[in-house]
Amino acid sequence: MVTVDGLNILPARIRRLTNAEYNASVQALLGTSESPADEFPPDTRQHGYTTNEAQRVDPVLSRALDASATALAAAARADFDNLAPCADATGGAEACAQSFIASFGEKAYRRPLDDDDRASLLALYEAGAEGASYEDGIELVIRGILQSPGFLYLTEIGDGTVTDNVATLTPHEVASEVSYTITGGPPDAALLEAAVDGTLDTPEGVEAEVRRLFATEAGQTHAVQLIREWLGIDRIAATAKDATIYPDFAGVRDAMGQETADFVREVLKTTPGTVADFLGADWTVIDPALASVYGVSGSGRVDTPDRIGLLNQGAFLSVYGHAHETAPVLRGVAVMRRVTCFDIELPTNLNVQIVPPVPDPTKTTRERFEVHALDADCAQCHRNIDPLGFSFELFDSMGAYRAEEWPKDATAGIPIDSVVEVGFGMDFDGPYDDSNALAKALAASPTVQDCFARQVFRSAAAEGQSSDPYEKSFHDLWEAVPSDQQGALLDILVTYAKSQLFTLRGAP
Amino acid sequence: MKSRPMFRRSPLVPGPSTMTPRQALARRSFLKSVGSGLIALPFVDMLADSVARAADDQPLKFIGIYHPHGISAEYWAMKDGDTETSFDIAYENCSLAPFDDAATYGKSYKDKIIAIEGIELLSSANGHDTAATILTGSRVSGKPSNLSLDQYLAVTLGLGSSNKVASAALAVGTDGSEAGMTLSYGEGGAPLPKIIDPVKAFDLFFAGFVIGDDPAAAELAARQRALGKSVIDFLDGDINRLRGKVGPREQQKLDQHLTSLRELESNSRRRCRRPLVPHRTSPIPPSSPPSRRTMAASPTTTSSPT
Repeated sequence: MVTVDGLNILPARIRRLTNAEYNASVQALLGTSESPADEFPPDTRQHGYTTNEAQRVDPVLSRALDASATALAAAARADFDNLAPCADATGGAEACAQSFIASFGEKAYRRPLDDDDRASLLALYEAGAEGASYEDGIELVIRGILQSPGFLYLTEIGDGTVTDNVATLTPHEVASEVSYTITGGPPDAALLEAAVDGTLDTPEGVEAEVRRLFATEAGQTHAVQLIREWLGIDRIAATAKDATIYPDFAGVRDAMGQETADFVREVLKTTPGTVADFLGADWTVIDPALASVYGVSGSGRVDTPDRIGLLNQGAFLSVYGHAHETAPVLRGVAVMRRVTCFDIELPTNLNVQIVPPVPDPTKTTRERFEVHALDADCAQCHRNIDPLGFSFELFDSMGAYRAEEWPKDATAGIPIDSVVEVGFGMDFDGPYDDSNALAKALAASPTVQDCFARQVFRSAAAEGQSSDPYEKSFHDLWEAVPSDQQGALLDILVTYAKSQLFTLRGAP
Repeated sequence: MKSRPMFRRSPLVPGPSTMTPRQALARRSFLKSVGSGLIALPFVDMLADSVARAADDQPLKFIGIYHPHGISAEYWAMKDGDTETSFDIAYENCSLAPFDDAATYGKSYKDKIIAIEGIELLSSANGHDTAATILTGSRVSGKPSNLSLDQYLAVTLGLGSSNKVASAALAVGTDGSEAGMTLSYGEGGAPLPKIIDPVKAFDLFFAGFVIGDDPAAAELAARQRALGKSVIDFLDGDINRLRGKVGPREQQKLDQHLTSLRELESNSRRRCRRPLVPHRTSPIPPSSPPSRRTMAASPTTTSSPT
């Protein structure tokens, strides 16, 4: 572990673009509106985040990359007049190719090319143009570039100079790091300019670019993605319910995903954008179909005093709901792990090997899950998990409000019991009437604010499995900033981006 | 509370030291027979038979099939009087009956089957995630810790290198790669992606093949192969230059990338005739409801262990 001024410095590393980053990168490079990576195998996740060090190029992905690059390069031919103009494509073709390689290659690799880059790209051009045309050569160069390590990997390795085991990232590497961290895409012209003119050599220069990019459309879209991955609610797009029990779900599933996006954008626009704003809002932004499921009149931004914050919105409640019934355990575990950073082990890791009793269908959901309390091994975790989950029982597995439940053979609806007593040593321990009351307490909790900062770091630093020592160093820095700069999502990102954790790497 | 009549506590997963003598013996003799070639055992006969057929027929294949959620044991498990090599699978509703159905499939394959039963997976995972142990032999903590047998054979030993596609993981249902959802793992237990779309599976095996004997098409295909080779050579050089600038952990990422390119290259060398492209009648929904049968790696578990 390399340390600088007491900080544990991340190792020099390379990181493959995520699928979303690949899409943004080819769109910026070629001006296409295609999203080829939507067809790639899904991203590997660590800590729930798609940005991580586990992204690899395996045989299936390498085939998909080749197919995507081949199709994009062929489609780009229609735009060669702009992309790769050549006044004399017979006599001066090679000069044109060199000029194309210099401009397109630098943009694709997000850094200046070296002699080896130029030579290998020119050789590729010649292979494509030989016995064919200038355009054929350019097409092959594009096909190669789109699969090249310079395009596919973000490098954080510096320029080869190492002092006391520490490498300083090049200004172009910092530019890419800023851009992909804040917008999920490649640097724009202004950011590259800042790399070249020395602006990014200072923390203040980095901060200014972070704040500028966060406010852009791409920055806001990426913030939505970060919030989604934080709570795991991007999985709403792949969530399914039993249509005989939840016939309305399929019709509003996409609206739930859209609610998250619209709500997060509205929070960022109208509030400081702290975790308290995300979890404690008494309003949301919904379309008419979802408003009808919620039992709310109106659409667009509406007041929802009985539906507080992201945890009581459709995406969270549906993702953490079984196909046929609510999932108090999944909801409780999600709150613990994602919102409070309280780690709980899987039963298997604790060597708890219990065959649970067959559920009694004549009991309510809460009664059936309460059998956890009857076994000492189960109760050691579930006494902490289940109360959190039971507080959400007023919402069914697709997030619709329900006042009562009808177990099998019931002759009358049984009123929902959402009253809980939370108590596992947290600053929000106490009694709650329901998940709305709980959400307000979580929104005000210093533990939750602390956890949010850690989660933002986990996503931004993209380290994944072994993030602990780096997270500790980030946390030290975060604790030291004035308290009014600790809460907001943007401020947390700035704290990281301004620090030496952002620009220094331990030598390989 | 004094007693817990509602709960049946399953025995803790036995470690190697708690294996009963009979289990240990059965396992030892199995491994020994495979390792030393005791041809008296039917399993080894079958291997020899397969090798002999492969020599003049087709390449050897290794196929693992996993059936999540399972089938009620009465429809496939060994019954009283059955042995590993002598058993009945023709009874009504037996899920293995197609292997003994000469009327439909031309011959019975019953004598190619060997039943292995009672293997403790020792995965330390819950029932669903134990799928990750089947071909890895690894304990599972989120994921297994090493590669799976299919990848060892196809990639490490290179037995798949003479095929257009060295290995493939196909599934019905979801394309998830959590421990309960796939059999196939690369180095370090990294789950390998699965293909759930039949049209994509077809493309994987047959894309790039020439249709018919048209010389113009053959010439075009030859040029495509040459261009593909140029791209791979270019990528190979670039990746190796980057490899020299990074530490061992990052080199491993690039090594995996290079391995994948070699597979891509062997892919582009082939020239065979392509069968008719299947017709897609409806899109594959991103989250189709859980379905059952999966090949070589897959499953679908939607209910979470709670």
